[in-house]
Amino acid sequence: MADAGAAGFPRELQVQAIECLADVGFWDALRRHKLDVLGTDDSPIPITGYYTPRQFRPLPSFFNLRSGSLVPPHNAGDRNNCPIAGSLVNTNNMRGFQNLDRDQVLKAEAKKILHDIMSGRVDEDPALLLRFFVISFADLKNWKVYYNVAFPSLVLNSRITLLSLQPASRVLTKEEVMFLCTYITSDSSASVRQLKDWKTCQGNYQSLLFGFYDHGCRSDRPGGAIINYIAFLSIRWKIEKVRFFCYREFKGKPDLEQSLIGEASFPPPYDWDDPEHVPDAIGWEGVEPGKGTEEMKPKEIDLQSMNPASQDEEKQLMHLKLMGWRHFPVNIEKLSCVRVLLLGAGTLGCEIARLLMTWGVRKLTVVDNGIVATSDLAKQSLYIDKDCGVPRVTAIVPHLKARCPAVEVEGIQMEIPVPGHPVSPSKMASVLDDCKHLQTLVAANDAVFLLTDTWESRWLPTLLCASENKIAVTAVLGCDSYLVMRHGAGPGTSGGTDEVTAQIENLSTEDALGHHRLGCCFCNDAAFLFNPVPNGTLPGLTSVVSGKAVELFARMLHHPDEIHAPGDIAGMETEHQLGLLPHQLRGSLPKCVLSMELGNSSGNCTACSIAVLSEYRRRGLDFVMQAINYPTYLKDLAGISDLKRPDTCPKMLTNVSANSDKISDVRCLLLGAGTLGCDVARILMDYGVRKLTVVDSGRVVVSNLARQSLYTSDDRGAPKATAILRHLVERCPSVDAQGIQMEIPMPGHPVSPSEAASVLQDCKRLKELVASHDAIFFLTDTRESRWLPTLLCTNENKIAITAALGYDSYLVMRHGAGPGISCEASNVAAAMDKMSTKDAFGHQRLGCYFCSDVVAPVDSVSNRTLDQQCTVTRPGLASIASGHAADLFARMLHHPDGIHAPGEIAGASSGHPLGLLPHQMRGSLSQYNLLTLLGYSSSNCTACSNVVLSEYRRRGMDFVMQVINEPTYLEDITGLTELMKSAACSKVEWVAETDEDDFIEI
Amino acid sequence: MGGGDGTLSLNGFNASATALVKRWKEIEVDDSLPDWTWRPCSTMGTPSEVEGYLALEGVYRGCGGSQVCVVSLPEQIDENNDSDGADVVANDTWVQSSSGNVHVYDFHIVYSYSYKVPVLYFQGHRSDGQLLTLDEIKQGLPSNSLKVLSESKWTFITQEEHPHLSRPWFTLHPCATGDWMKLLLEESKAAYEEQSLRYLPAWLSVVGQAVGLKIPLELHCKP
Repeated sequence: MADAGAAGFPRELQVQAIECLADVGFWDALRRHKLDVLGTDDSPIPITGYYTPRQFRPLPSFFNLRSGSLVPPHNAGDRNNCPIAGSLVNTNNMRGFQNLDRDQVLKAEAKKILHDIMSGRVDEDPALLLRFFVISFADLKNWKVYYNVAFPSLVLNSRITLLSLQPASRVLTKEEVMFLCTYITSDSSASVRQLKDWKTCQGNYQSLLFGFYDHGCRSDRPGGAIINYIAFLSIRWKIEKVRFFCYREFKGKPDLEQSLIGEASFPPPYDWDDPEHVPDAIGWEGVEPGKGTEEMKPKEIDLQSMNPASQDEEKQLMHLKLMGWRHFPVNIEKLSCVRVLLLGAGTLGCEIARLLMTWGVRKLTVVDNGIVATSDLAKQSLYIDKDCGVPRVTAIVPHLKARCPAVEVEGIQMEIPVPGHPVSPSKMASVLDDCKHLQTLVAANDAVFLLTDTWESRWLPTLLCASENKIAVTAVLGCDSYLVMRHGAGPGTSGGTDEVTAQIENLSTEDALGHHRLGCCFCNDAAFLFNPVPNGTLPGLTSVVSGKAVELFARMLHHPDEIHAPGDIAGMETEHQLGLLPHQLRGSLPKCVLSMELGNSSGNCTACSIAVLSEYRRRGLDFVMQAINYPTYLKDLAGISDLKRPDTCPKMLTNVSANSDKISDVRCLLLGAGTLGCDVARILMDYGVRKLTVVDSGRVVVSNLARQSLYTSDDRGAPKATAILRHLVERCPSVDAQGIQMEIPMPGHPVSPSEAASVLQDCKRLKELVASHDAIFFLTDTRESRWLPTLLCTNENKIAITAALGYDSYLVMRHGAGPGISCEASNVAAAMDKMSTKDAFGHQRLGCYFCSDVVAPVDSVSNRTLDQQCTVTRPGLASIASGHAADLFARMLHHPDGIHAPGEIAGASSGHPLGLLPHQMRGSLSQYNLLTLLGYSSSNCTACSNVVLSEYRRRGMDFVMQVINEPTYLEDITGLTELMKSAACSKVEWVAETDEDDFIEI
Repeated sequence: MGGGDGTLSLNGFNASATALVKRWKEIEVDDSLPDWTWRPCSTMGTPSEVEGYLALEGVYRGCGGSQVCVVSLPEQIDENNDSDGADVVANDTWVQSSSGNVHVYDFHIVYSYSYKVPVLYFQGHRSDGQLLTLDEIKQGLPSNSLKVLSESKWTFITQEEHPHLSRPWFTLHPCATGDWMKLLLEESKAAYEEQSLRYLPAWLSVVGQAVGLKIPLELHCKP
């Protein structure tokens, strides 16, 4: 190797690297595959790349990845499309991608090549020598892909020396040769045989050339594919001197001018045949020679430009698909096709229509007769000030579209005919028309929501649904209690005859599947629930009820028996992946209870009994008109008590409004303006809160629109903290709202020295904000972001309410008061040292969000898979949690002890007129339960214990900054480190509480 | 058939397309240009017999604007490569050619039913797959193309949905095509049928300029 110059021989073999050209369609296909098929699975998947000999003179051919590369090649390919098997590893997050040991995976792939050579598989399928490898992270949230490609080349402990290299045209004129090609080409003066025929060819020809398709374009070096080829020839067939032929093409024809013929020597390597031997390898695309893989940069692809039109809809549906990763495959197709009729576009109608869109329902029809009134704005979540005086069905359409452009929604202004209210002869025709119209609507839709605000107006729809066998869901709001139920299926026919008259007469008491029919809302008189005072409902109740009604509907749709599904009862084992499917749910906010009931269809129900149904089927609208005009007719027919609401109404007409002065002066600070933030802000306004400050660092993106109730398409790209203000004012002009765009400093997210000043600024700002407000709501998306606010609230003794969501469970809690001062210390210094374990009232302090933790809050985001990072929560969950959070706050405010009020447990008799004031409420949607819990402040708590507090009081922001950079410091000072050590010694198994309660907005 | 008004019928388009594919193969075109191919549109998996479009895919272009771009390879031959240990990882045998600045273009000619003229759709992407923005595309165009684009009113590039692929592609708006094609074809006194066969080559020689696609002169000369 004396002369290693470019022209001199022998010299060390240098090759031209293979380069990958990935079609954007490939990355888009990968994105879908990840979302729809792979889920959290990050194991390697087989892909196919396409290799081509060089085609155009000045450029090498690229190795292609196409949209079809994720599926096996459907044919053997041709010269311009040689399918090459490869594999792809798509990690679940950026950190996983960055942490992949690139050297290691490359070696593992090279090992496979070596193995294929040794086992003889390459003899049959030489394409295996070109095995390639892709690592990627498909960031589905931001529509980006980061990736690297490798073409592993074996590096054995022997070097390849190039002995000669010249254009093929010069050689081929001189002698007759034979090619052994991986793919057959033909040339008049040469015969071409497949590689596997080598043994039989030996000795029969004067000259053998080992040919291969060469992607390269350089005349001084072959393409990269040659390295593994020579290794194969040496290892498998013991050929030390290889004459090779780099086959290149020009416009589909052999280009002998630029094809190369050369000779290389390769002394036999050793040690490679040890089964444990892992060969060295090179081949990462983009790695400079001699440099390590550490300096490798991922390539980045932005897929946003790919499908702008369908992108918005895909982004909105992503959270439903993500539910399928771990929990339950949502039938998006079914949901998007189901036609839903909403009767009523008021408080419930608005909320349910929006939540249905969140579930992916795209075909809505809304029926209502009302006009938007100013007093409705705070309650009816979709309407804004401009809508006042406009019919609700007209106003609701643009509001729904602004949240989900793909939704098809029709608004129909119509009064629903009511039985027992005789109509004057002049109106007879129009009422009959309304009946007919409703009849057509029920027949044309798949599911009906009964959300009107009178009991009687639900009679006709109930009858029609029972007769047509349509899904019907009823939601009823009382002043503080509610009922959500699904109606049972219509009756099956008992006889085998198919004559219409016979069918009418043979209505069975069972449904078409032979189950006992479930009841409708008229079967057991629930009329007493109705709130006699319009708008007198507890503000949080609507959200709670809507969330449950929509959940019930979605679950029913996913049940194999749909409308015929039997009713589940609490505690039942269910095989259904979405959880229990009850018949009726009743609950009360002040009592913090929730119960499931099951009731079969009553024989003398005025709406769904066989007597009524067969009369309707026989006489049609004549019967309906008679029921409308003759108040006693239905009663006589079914034999029950008066349809009308009894005059004796249960009164929980509490002093909600009595304290409105107090509540309007309360300054509330909302940390987070996402799904929870929007709902809580709205409900608080409905309670009468007029001073709101909202803190959020994010911006509105498309996927927020359906779930974060206040934002519309116009807000896209705007900071949430400013966008929300406009929407609050639109609903309540007298609100005094402020928005602050700020990131809450979090432990476990270390700050660089350059950021330190601004983070410190944020800490101070948050401190001032907490000090200047009366109540703080924690509605952020990560666990660790709640730490600093918790500490500050405890320090300032402020009301703190936490709402956190899991996939189908939620936690709503109030933090305990700060510690009181023990003994009679009068000055500040003394107070600092003598914090009591009790609060200022001498009660034992209630716990905070962190009290049950055994570790300090740390960065909980980076290591998560996408579904964990995103809000994979059941769509109605945030509404329910928000309703409870606002309600808890209102009750606390009215409690004489305020923040010091002791925690109560459901079932305990509460002396307080507003009802029970628990410490924590945990609920689960799949089990439909609600627990009230009580926990006291832990002396090891990382956020509210006296030791943390006194450290903070002593060192102030220095302490906070230290914790942000090294959260384990918290564990040291609170004694958690010690505790864990002793636990390890005594071999107690600590079960770290799984972090179910956190979520991040998409 | 090609009308005297500068428009082209669907049959005329199909005939002219077939002629173009054939002619393109016969003549000497630029080394880096692949062949035009006819892509039948498929409805429900069965390829249509009458409906389709022409495709010229995989046209490589350097950022400098020339169609042919010889990628300059950094010389990485290590002169003092006398490390004699066979244990050295031979990273330097694997020479990377930095073709990161290569752009790849796809051109499609689609028949527009509303304007009754051919429409050019195109897109470009980097070698890593990232689609190019209009600004990036313009940066890659030779100066005479930019001149054509800025001076003539009939060539403005918009982004529209590709009629057969339902993805946004760039397109040269067809609104004035009929008018200038009428002028272009008036000069030739050829028969009607002959004219429609020549339609696409003539049209392509004009629109090609705007997008930096070098069309050989022989394409619309008589063989």
